[in-house]
Order: sequence, then C-alpha cells, then structure tokens
Amino acid sequence: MSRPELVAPPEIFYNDDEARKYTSSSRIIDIQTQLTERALELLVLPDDGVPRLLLDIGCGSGLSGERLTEHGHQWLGLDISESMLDVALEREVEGDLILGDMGQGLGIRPGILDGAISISAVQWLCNADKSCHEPRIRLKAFFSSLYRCLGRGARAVLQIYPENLAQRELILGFAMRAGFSGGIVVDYPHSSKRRKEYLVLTCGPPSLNTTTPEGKGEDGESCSDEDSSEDEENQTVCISDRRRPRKKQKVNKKGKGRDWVLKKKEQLRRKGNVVPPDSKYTARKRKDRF
Amino acid sequence: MTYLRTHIHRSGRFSGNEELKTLVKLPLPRDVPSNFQMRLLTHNMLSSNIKGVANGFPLKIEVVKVVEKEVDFNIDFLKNMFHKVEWKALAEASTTMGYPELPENADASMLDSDDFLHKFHHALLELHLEEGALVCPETGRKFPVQKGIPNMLLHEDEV
Ligand SMILES: C[S@@+](CC[C@H](N)C(=O)[O-])C[C@H]1O[C@@H](n2cnc3c(N)ncnc32)[C@H](O)[C@@H]1O
Repeated sequence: MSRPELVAPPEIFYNDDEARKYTSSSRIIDIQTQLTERALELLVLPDDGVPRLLLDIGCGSGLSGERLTEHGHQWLGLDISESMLDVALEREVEGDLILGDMGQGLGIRPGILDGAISISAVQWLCNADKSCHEPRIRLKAFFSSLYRCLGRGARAVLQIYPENLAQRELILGFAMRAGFSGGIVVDYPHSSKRRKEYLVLTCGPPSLNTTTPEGKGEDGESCSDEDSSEDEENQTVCISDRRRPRKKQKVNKKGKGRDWVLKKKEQLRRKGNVVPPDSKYTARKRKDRF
Repeated sequence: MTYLRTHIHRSGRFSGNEELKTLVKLPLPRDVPSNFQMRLLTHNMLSSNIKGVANGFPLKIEVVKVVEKEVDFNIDFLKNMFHKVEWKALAEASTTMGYPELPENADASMLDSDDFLHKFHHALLELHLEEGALVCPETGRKFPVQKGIPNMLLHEDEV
C-alpha cells in the first residue's frame, strides 16, 4: 500500500501500464463509480432533467465521466496524463478531453460551468514534482481559476485523499481564500478503509444552500473496520493520517458475540499469529462471581 | 452493504424533443470509425491561459481534419448553453470548420425557430476538430490538437 503521489509525478505514474491497469480492475472501476455517484449527489444539481455542463478535473480514463454521461450531463475532462486520456479515447467516452495541468490554472472562460467534480486527483497538487513547482502557488492557481469558471451558486465537489491533517487544511484553506464557501464532508469517518473525504464548495458567499451536508455513516452504524470484508488495497485509497481522531469503540450490551470472536481469530491465524484453538469455551461469558 | 448505493435517475438522459428529433437527419459520414472529438462547445469554453495574456479568447482554429458526428438533439441543453456561448466566436469557428450556416448575431428569441436550433446544435456538438491547432489570439502560441485532444499544457516560462 502506497500513495501514488509519493511515487512519481502524475504524468509519469499514470503511464500506459498504469492507465491500462486502471480500467481493467473491477475494484478500481467500482470505487471510481461509487465516488462519482456520491460526488454527483453532493453537487445537488436541480432535478429538472436539463443536461448540465460539467467539468471533470483529473478525468483520467473517463470512469467518472461515464457516470456524468449516465446522468445525462455534458462534460469536459481535464487530465495531465496522456496515457490515461488514451484509455478514455479507447473507452469512447462522451465528454471532450483536454490535456492540461490543473496546477497551471484552468484555461476556461469565466462563469460558464454548471458544476465541477474531481475524483482522487486534487491531492496531487500538494507535491512539488518539478523544481518550478510550488504547491501553494499551484493550489492558488487551481482554486482561483476554478472559482472563476463556475457560474454563480454553482458547486464543485472534489473527492480527495489528503495525506494528513496539514494537507487537508492546506487544500481547504486555498479553496476558501479563492472565495468558495463550503467545507469537507467525511463519509464513514470511523472506518479507515471506507472513510472518504469530499471538498464541497459553492461559488459565492455562504447562504442557506451552501451549508455543508452531513457525511454518511456518521453514527458509526455498521461501519467498523472489522466488518468490511472488501479490503481496498487500491493504492490510492489508504490514508496515513496518524492524527485522525481515535476510532470510537462501539460495544453493544451483549458484547461482540461468538461469531465475531471466531472471525477475528481466523483473521489473526491467516496473518500467521499464534491463536488458541477454538473450543466450546471460546467467547463464553464469564460467571459473574469471577 | 448499503455503501454509497445511490440510485441512478435517467431522467436527464439525452433524449430531447421527439418532434424535433425527426427533423434532424443530417447527412453525416457514417463510416467514420474514430471517436476522436473536440466539439466547438469545448472551443467556446477554452481560453489561452498563458501568463500575461489579457484576453486569450477566442482561440483561433487551425484545421487539419474535421469530422462530423451525429449527436442526439436536446433542446433543454441548447437553451441552457445559449446563454453561456459566445455567439460570435461560435459562428466564426463554425465557418472555419466548413459550416458557415450560423447567423452573425443571435438573440434568445431565435430559440423558437427549429431551423436555428438545428444549426446551433450541429455547430456546437456535431462538428469536431480531430487534428489541428488552437492558436492564442494574443501571442500566436499554438496548442496542438491531436486525436481530438487539445494539448493545453504550458511551458515553464508561460506559467
Ligand atoms: C485516481 S486518478 C482518477 C481517474 C479518473 N477519475 C477516472 O475515472 O479514471 C487521478 C487522475 O488525476 C490526474 N492528475 C493528477 N495531477 C493532475 C494535474 N495536476 N492536472 C490534471 N490532472 C491531474 C492523474 O493523471 C490521474 O488520471
């Protein structure tokens, strides 16, 4: 598990091999699809059937764009990796593609977009991949140009994988300075695997409809790490933020139960740990007098 | 598992007005296999982002290859776009691409005319620049377009 941002610049990391891998993995496709669906939900476009003009920032192979098409919208996709865009061409996506670097600012006419999304791309700006790269300048160029090209009241929903708290604050800070209102929505905050962060930004000053929506799974219901059977080894998914608030320990009255204990022991065995054998005593409640 | 299973509404799907749809029978080359596309819609949105350029719009078009593609007609989208499009730039670009059919000026009242809507639709969505270049109106810098993808990456000294 690694963070691709730390491996190489995006246009190098997303080479032909990686681009091909990207769309041949059903897990990556699933994740991109789910993230995009959620981003669209957070974009709250009017439900009037009118196709909107959207921008997909870091559109890559077009997995996210395909969801936009599926919802009936027209889109433009921007990406810095030619290999990823080639895959998008092969997949015959419906949006127009642009080879470009969001860190250089978006060369798009003011006020024209009905909305923007970005799936797992913006954290790349926090890296200095070339000697001429200064993350702060690139973040500033990106957010101020994004603000300009969105129509008033339009939203941008950017799903990000910040490396740590400082990076999250940095990204959010530049968004706010550009004039956006909004904040970060965290889905499944208590699960290291399913936790997802979305920067939900509205163009213009705060108002009633700029309040940041609630994340999913906030109540901690059925979203502990233990019960997630799908392990997302997807490199872009892990989060190494050590300052994340400690997971809430949720123990219901009956305790974890025998099944849970057996499953846990089995997991540990698979990891090669020495685990006592299962017996009729396993997970039995102790007598009160004990 | 209920994780992010949102339901997909297809209400927005490009279907458009049935009545008008039957009118759109443009003779398009059906044997074009490529899916390379850069619509004039995109041209109408892009501007030169080079440092120091005050007005990078509209980019001039240098045509090497144009393709036409049939796209479903959607009157709602056209109406949404009409107010965003820079008309003069679209009409000129359309002429450059070999379709000199758009009026020089347009106002919202024209949206009532089927003839106008179809020309607008064709110019905005069905004419594609496959190979060529977009040229910055101020500096003359060329942004190459290959396989329908404009390369808008700036050099270090242009940022
Ligand atoms: C995790 S992938 C997302 C792929 C995309 N959503 C899809 O459906 O295929 C992140 C993408 O961000 C792009 N990217 C990274 N840095 C970028 C930059 N500075 N400008 C534009 N795109 C960038 C990468 O090239 C990569 O395709």
